[in-house]
Amino acid sequence: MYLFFLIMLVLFEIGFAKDIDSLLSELAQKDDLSEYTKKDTAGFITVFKREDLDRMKIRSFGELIDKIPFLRNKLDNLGLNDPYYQPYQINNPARIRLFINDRELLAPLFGSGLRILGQLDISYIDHIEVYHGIPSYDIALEPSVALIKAYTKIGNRENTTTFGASIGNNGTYDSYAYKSAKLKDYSYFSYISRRDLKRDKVQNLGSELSRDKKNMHAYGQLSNETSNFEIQVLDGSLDSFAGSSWDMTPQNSDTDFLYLSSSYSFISLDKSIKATLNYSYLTDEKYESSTSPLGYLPSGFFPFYTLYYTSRINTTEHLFDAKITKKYTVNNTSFLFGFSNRFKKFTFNKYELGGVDFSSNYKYDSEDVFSVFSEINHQLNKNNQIILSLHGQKYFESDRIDSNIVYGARLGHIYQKENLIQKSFLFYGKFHPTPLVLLYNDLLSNGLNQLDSETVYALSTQFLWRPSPNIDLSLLFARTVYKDAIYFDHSYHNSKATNIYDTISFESKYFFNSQDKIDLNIWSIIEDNGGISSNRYHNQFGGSLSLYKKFFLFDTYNSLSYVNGSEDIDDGWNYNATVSYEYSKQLTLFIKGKNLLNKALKSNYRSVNLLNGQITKLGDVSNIDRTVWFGLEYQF
Amino acid sequence: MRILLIILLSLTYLFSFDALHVKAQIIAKIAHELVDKDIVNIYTDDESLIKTKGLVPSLNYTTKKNADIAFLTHKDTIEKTCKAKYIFSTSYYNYKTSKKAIGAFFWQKGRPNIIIKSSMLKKLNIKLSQSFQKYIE
Repeated sequence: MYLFFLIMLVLFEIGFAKDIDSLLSELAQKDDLSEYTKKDTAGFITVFKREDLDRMKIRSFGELIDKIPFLRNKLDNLGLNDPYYQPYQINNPARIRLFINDRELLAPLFGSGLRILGQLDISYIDHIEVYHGIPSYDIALEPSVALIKAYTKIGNRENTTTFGASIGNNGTYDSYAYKSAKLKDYSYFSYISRRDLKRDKVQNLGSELSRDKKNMHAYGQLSNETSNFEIQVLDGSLDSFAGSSWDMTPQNSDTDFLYLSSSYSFISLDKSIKATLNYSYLTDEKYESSTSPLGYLPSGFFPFYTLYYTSRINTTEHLFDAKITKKYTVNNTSFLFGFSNRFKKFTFNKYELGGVDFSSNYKYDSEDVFSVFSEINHQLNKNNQIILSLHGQKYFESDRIDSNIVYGARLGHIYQKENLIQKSFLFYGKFHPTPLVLLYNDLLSNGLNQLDSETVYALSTQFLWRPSPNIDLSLLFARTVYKDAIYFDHSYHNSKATNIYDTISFESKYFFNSQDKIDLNIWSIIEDNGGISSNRYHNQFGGSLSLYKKFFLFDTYNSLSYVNGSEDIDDGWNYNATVSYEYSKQLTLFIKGKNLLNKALKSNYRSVNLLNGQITKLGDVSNIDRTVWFGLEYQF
Repeated sequence: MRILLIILLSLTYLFSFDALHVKAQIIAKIAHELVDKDIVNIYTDDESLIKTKGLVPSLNYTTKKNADIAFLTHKDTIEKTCKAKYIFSTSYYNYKTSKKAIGAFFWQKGRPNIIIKSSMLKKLNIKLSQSFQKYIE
């Protein structure tokens, strides 16, 4: 007993001996908003806390991709973020989904939220959680390989009026301002930004390819203890880089878009009922003119085709989303039941090729998804927890596309003892093709080819070990098996082969003190595509090492990321560094360098002459420019 | 004895404070900075701070009438009902609009923050230690 009191006294004194600054820094880490939002039982999570984002000066979701295991920081032929980009393969939102709070950013035709928001300012984001693999149905109902959940700053944690601005080489500049407060019964957060992003130009066969982007972005949130109302508006234009012409020689290639989203979410005081309602609208117009043809149209006289050099495509997309969940707890078991309806409406207002409008050919224009799901979480004893999730979805497709029903199940076990946690999940599910794949498959096959759902099995386990309070270690193994995978080769097909992905990752964090730390992650994907050729196995691996260190009033961040290349692409090494200087309590100045070694991962682009099959290649295009930014943030 | 000390030091190294313990220590730091007593009587109506009760031996959680220092979130309690000599608000809005709050312990720009009114320090004739000087406004 004497020893116990002595220990308690020393422990308390050790805590009390810390100065007030260290205690506030420690609380910022330990009471981060992510501690209230992340769902440990939902899967394998990497969290980028508010302090991490502030210190890295991460200013877009695209910049974060280098730090997420298993992802490659690539841009597609329009210069938009797509970690899985392959020439002529359609952007698949089912691979990476992006959520802002509980609202998914998705446009059925435009693609995933990462394409919409990938290179825009994210100063309104508080923290980001990345769920690897297939997470709980409570998090996302439609399939995903990785899920990025970003949470906005909230009024009662901000209480500030802040202005920030930065300039970079190439003439890039951006600025933002936000105002937020907790008032008597509610809190608000309002944000506005403008970004003019200039990128290095790429020369190809006499054409200058541009990836410049401009936008105005506004976000507002009003919340109290149970309700949260959000609105987001994004008005932008982008130069469409390589475009779609046969030689990738655009003369004028740009896209204008307007994205609007509003949502309402409710959570009961006892947290047992959650409901969200969301409506999103996107309209965009892509115009392209090129010195090489964009395609050909049949004609009635020799040579029985006409080449066209211009296209104008105008689309409107709507997404209505409603979800409700109810949780019951009986002794050591909780039962969650949920229902969701997601209605996607997409229209081609104009589909002009060489001045001729083909929009009337696009009859397939909506998808309605009804989902029911449940999750049973049973605490077997102090150390063991079992989670069983089930879900069923009915996809109602319009026009001549077959409707479909898919089912899925997920069984999980979590073992937790002192400083060790082991999570294991077994998953089975069917992934219904996305609307864009269904649309083009319908057009290319004239309605004759109906695609099957992909079947996915996954077995995964993760060990999280904290050998001491300042060291975190994590080791993850997963095997994912795809059957009937959908791929494009002149038309869409379900693969006869079985694709197997074995993934391994190791992550460690070492905290020098409450402010300084070093992070390491190493990952590998071994893909077996089931063929019999020498091309059967593809290995991908990468990692990153990041150091966060404070020196007096200077806050430094250094990060080196690596991804292996392929046959015709060199390995990518991306070195980023940031130094922030706290001039006063109100004013912070920073300098930030991206891709300072100029060896970040490059991409190759290909385009095909549809008449003679000749391929034009555009190689070694850097996905990230070597850039230096100067910036400031002033708190009023 | 030496072995015992090594064990104790190892244990303290291994002991990890959670967010609630850190909050308790911050409250204790503020309380002992302002109140010159070994055991300080405190009162709070803030739900996230009520849970810190019993975590720090030198704080005695009491009623709003007997407290030396209070950490308050409700405007009415700050302005009308609390009799503590030192009142800290846990809401920036209430601190800004109050004539009775000496300081605030709240979140700003995603970080926990402390601010203390210099006019109230003068009025109450309090001198703060060096480590608290940067929080005076």
